[in-house]
Order: sequence, then structure tokens, then C-alpha cells
Amino acid sequence: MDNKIDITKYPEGFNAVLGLLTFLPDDDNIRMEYFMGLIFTLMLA
Amino acid sequence: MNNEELLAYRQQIIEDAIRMKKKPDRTPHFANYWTWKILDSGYKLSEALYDWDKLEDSTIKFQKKYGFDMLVDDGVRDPMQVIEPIGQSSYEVDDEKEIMNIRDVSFMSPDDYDLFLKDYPRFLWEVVLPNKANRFNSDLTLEQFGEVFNRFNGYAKCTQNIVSRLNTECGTPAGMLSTQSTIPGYEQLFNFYRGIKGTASDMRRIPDKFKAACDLLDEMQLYPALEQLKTSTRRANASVDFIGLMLGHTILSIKQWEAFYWPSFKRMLDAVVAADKTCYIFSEGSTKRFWSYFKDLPKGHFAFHVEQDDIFEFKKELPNCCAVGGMHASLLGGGTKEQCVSYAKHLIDELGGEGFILSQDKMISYRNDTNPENLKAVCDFVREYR
Repeated sequence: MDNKIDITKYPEGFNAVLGLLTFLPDDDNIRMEYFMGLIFTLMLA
Repeated sequence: MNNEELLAYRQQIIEDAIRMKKKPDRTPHFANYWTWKILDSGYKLSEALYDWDKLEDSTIKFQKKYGFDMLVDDGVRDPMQVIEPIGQSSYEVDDEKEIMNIRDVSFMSPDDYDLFLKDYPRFLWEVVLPNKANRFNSDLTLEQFGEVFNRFNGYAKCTQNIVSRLNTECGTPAGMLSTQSTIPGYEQLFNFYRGIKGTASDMRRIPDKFKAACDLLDEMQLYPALEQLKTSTRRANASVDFIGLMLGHTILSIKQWEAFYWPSFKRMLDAVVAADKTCYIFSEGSTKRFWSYFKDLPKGHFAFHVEQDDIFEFKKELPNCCAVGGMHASLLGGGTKEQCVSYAKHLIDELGGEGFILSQDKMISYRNDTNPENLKAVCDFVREYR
């Protein structure tokens, strides 16, 4: 795992984080939907 | 009744109460119980909020003890564990006083609307996350962020377990947190991004940008969900088809309501009617000044939670909607068993039949909101009273 990337940068950090979602199908729409669900949950926290 | 039969029975009485075509076998009873469940099951707030197993246990214990027909909170309302690897929850938990407080925080400034409207994912990444999560910075590693996904998956699993166990072990249909729902744009800005002060200020100072942001969120999320509603089939454990939330209306004038709230909310209501579905509108505070907007809705689709308003007045003004509520937390917390049961009987006698679901008039959160003995007596009474 590349720990040197600045994950706060967009789009490189964002894409690197989405790349962690290997437990999901390799489908951008599914991964984006999952990400939106995560953001929603973080906002509830 | 076994649990499968009990589930079907509960679904039927809820459906009958909302559809208002025939009198339900008895008045359904919804649990508007939140963190109180944790305290009643013997856990400290922080213990259960930071342990999925204990949170699940507190919900199941609650339902096995009281036997409601639906739990509004049937999942994880406070997913504080998920944000922990990258920041702090907006809630402050005080185990000694047994309370949780939320700070009114804005996670974007008025200047951020331009990016919000131009590139929403970038806005979330560059504005919202750094403001919401104080450890989301350039020192954070991918591995550390990966822990957020682990926590999020744990949260999803906990919700799934609660819903499944309520269903199979308690014969209880799905509640609000596990039913299809999409939060309108205004509510997201109010609850998630701008807070009370920020929302109030933006509506006055930059109404066009604020409205554009509401519209963008509705176009991305609410309206596609309403399209899906047309063809979706009801889930096997459903209590209703759709959830509507009314939380941020409390700060709106009529003019603001008409500009920022009602157009998309009305579109949601119309979609429910067009698809011949049922919808539970979970509302907080007083909604009285907006009741006239709901008068023309056709009968048989909406169950409306009445929190701070008089439920008898609500039923008189909106006979087309099923009223949910009536039971005062002040009575459950400070009255006697006899007073509580007597008031529950009064509510059912006056409002029961089609178009009424008994519930509590606030989100029950603190220990003193309810005396467990009072609640048990009311639950036992409602299940038996015809």
C-alpha cells in the first residue's frame, strides 16, 4: 500500500481511496454510491 | 402467534391504520425510542455507542421487553465509531449525566457554494471532509483511511443484524432507519453542511445559491429515488414503503417554506400517491403552521408523526392523514402506571380506528423521559385493548 500519497488531494487522493474498495465490484457507479453512503454516515456521526 | 405470523399481523394493522379503508384489529404502537434503549438495557451510552454488539443487544432487549409494532430507530442512529479513525463525532457523550449533546456546526462556508455547485464530489473531498474530520490531513495514510471503510462495513452489518433479528426473533417489521428514504436537499444543508445558523443566514443573504444547492442535491438523490419508487416492490419485512423527514422546517417562515422546502417535498408526496405507496413522515417540533399544505393529499398514503402539536387538533385539521403520536413523554416519565394507561385508552378511544398509530411525542432519549414500568404497562395495554 502506498502511504506516501497525500490523500487530501483531489482527484489523486480521492481516487487512491476509492481504489481501496476492492471488496466491491469494479464498477465506478457502485463505488461512488458506496462513497456517498459513507459520507452520509460520517455526517450523522 | 409465531414470529412470522406476528410480523404479518403487525404489518397488516399498520397498513390498515394508514390506508384508512378498514379499522385495524387494534391500534398499532410505534416506538419513538432512541438512546433511552441503551440506558434501559443497562449499558452506559459510550459503552454501546462504541460497540456494535452492545448496541444491537440493547435494541433487541428493548423490543423483547416491550413488544412494539415498529421501532422508528431500528438501526444505528449515532454511527460515532465510523468517523473515529479520521476525526471526532459532533456529539458529546456524558455518561455521568446520561446525555448526548450535538454542537451546531457548519462544515462549509458561504464561499464554498461555488465549488459545491460546480463539482460536488470535489467539494465533499476538499471542503466537507477536512472540516468534519480533524485528522483528515496530508499525514493521513491510505491504511488509516481504510479503517473508516472497516468501521462503515461494521455499521452496515450491525444495522443488518438488528433489522434481521427484529424480524425473525421479534416478529417486528422494518422501522425508519431501514426503510427507503432520501433526505431532501434542504434537510441535508440544514442537518449536515450549514447547521441552523448557517442555513438561516444563507436563505437571507444568498438565497439563489442556497436554492441551487438544494436543487442540485434533489436532482442527484431525491428525484432518482422517487423514480425508483414507481416500479419498486414492497420489501417482505416492510412497515411502510417510504420515509419522509421533516426536521429543518422548524426555522422556516412560510415564505421560506414555499421557496426552499415545499416544492421538492410536494414532489415526494405526489410520487408516493402516484405509485400508490405508503409513507411515514417523521417530523420534529411543531408542524402546525404548515398543515394547510397537506390538506389536499388523498387519504390513505401518509402517516404523520405529531410531536409538539395537539394530536386531536391535527386529526381534526388533517383527517386525510394517519396521525402518529399522542403519548406524552412527560406522562411516561413522571406519571403513574394508571395515569399512563388511562391516557393511552383515552387516545385510542378518541382517535383509534383507522388513521391513528400510538407513539411518543418526542424522541425518547434520556432516562427520565420514561419510567420503564409505565412503558411496560402501556405496551401491554395497547396489545390487548380492542
